[in-house]
Amino acid sequence: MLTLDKIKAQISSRQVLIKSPTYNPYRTNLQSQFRSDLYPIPLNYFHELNPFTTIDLDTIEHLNYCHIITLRDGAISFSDFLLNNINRIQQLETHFLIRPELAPLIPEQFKSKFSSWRISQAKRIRPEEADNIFLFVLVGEDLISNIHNLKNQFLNLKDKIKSKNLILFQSQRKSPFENEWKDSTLFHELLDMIKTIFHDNKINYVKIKDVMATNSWHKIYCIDLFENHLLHSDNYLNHFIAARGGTIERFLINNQDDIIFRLQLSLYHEMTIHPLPNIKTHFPEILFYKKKFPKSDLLWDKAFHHLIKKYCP
Amino acid sequence: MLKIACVFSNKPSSWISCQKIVFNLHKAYQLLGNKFELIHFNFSDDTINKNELESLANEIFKQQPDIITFLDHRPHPQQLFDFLMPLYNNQEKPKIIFHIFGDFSLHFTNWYELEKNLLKFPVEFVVASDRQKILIDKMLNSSTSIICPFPVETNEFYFDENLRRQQRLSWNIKEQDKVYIYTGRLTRQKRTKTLIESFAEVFHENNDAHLFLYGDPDHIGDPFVGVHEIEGEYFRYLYRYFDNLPEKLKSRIHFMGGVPNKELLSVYCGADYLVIPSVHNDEDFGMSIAEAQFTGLPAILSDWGGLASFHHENLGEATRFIPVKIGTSSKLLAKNSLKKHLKDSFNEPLKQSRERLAHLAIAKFGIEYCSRIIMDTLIAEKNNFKGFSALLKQISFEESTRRGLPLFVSKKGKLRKIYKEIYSAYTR
Repeated sequence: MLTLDKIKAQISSRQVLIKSPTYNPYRTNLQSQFRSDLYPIPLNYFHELNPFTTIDLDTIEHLNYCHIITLRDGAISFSDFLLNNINRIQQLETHFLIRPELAPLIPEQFKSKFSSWRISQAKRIRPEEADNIFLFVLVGEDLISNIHNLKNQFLNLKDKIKSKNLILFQSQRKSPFENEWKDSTLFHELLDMIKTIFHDNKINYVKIKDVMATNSWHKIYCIDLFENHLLHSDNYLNHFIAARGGTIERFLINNQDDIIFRLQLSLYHEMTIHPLPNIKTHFPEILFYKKKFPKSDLLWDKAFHHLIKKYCP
Repeated sequence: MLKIACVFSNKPSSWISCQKIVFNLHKAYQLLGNKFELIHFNFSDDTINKNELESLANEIFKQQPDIITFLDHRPHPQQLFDFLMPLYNNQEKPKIIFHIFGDFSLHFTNWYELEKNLLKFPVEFVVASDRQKILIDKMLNSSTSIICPFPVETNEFYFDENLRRQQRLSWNIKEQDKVYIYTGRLTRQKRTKTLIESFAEVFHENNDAHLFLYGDPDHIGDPFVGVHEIEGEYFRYLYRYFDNLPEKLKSRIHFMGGVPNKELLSVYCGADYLVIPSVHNDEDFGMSIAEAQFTGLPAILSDWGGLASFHHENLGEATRFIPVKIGTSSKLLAKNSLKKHLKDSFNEPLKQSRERLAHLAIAKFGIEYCSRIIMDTLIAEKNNFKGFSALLKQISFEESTRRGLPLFVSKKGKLRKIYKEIYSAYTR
């Protein structure tokens, strides 16, 4: 069960895995691939509630050093972690914070060991009030689920941002859970879509180094189009931009219910901890899959990914 | 008429102060008058491939400038000179002027690599402060640098009583309250936490003192002394301390975030003291301090690097200095001295009018004054570059051979002698 004492103990301990002397984000090929394929999304950022991704975990026993861990995983690596460590998780004192979208994966008997976390911004601007609009997208067959959803999103945005400058970072990538590139026309389709819909806007194409070198994001409204809860649930770039004054579309407004605790992450955004959403668990289904295919490496199993996608859309 | 090639980037620097500096330096050149023809050449981080560098070098050469002046801090001119030098092989060479910024020490190897091309040119290094001159002169073989402060526009920063009133209203401050402000990044090397701590310790019972911090945090850390931070780390370090203060004290410490430079005019007019306890390695000058002094705002500053420039002989009380020394592992700011200055400044405010300080600042950092220094530099006799010093060569060699180990820190975390050799220039 999550208590305020536990939260305060974690904060005052400052035992944060990414600052551990033995932490190595490039220890395995998977970690390197993860960081390269999804750069800059998995980059590390700091707060005392221990933001971490399970693919970086050397041994689960390391979690014993932490009262609380804030997981940034997508559904694939998170379910793989659960299924491979279910007995050991039971023995840990550690409390896990996960994104609410991953709640359907939690076994019923473990729900007391999990809470959810969100990010919000108290001061936000509307797209109409921005000087510039920043679009961030990683494009690939396994990265973008539905290009038609994006089209609708753009059409909704179009009238709000007439004559505004569009700053576009678009990069072709592959899923880190694929070894080979797949040929895809998505990159060009998306680019054509953006140019067509936003034909009245000046589009400035930027490289990631330009984005990371920008120190002020005030009056910039940022739309992170990488909405892929399977691969990763917490984009570093959103934190980077928010900490420099940008408004992040997907961050919530600051008036939520059920807040157990708030942690200020920058002058402009905060993390809030909530109870786990009260929804049906699908852990038995994924456990059944694991038992049916015991030799399957779930991180690379496309059928397993499809199964997970059903429960964490 | 002398033809001057002004080389700088069209793309603004990611450092806000540098954006202003380049803009104002260019303006200072534009004030030179009809005896000089200025031609701008865009040299930016985007101009890094061989073809673009070659094209830029050819464009510059084609204009046959008498002087080529580099107004920007990046990109480093070394690669450009690889293409420029061969064009001038058998030709009379223009004078080269480099306006040096605080990040000189991030590019020792680039400067060393540039030497072979520069030896054939007459060169002037222009620095922004006395202490930066001491540092840069250590890197030069028998040449010496010229001091020209980064200029400030008099019509951008000035004291206005109405602005003061309005600003204090917006802060919800009583007239008898004392407002201390900090402007700049909230960052380890500027000792932002030390400032908040000192303010809290001195004014914990005094409800008439306020601290306004204008700037956003970064995570640069202090890599020269082996301190590396990640995103969010310094903010949490700062905020954790702040959050544990009593509510009454917290209500008098205000994090205002980053604001556009033009909004700082009202901020400076509304404030009673500027406090910058920075020990940043890049502290070659202090643009925000110069701008604040143009509004007559007295200051409490660390006695480090270019910040020492803001002392005025005829108005010594306008700037109070906090001693700094280089310790065994880091730079040490005398916190007790900072606290004393905060206390004394509250109890003994500046007696002279703000206009007096503003006039002294204009005389020392105004754009017209800087333009005259630039003119003298342009028309001065040409001195052929005599190379960089053994110290710079040693640093460059160590940089390339330490294989990822911090240049200035030993394995035991102590500052190496080489750091002290360089940065003793920034202390008294």
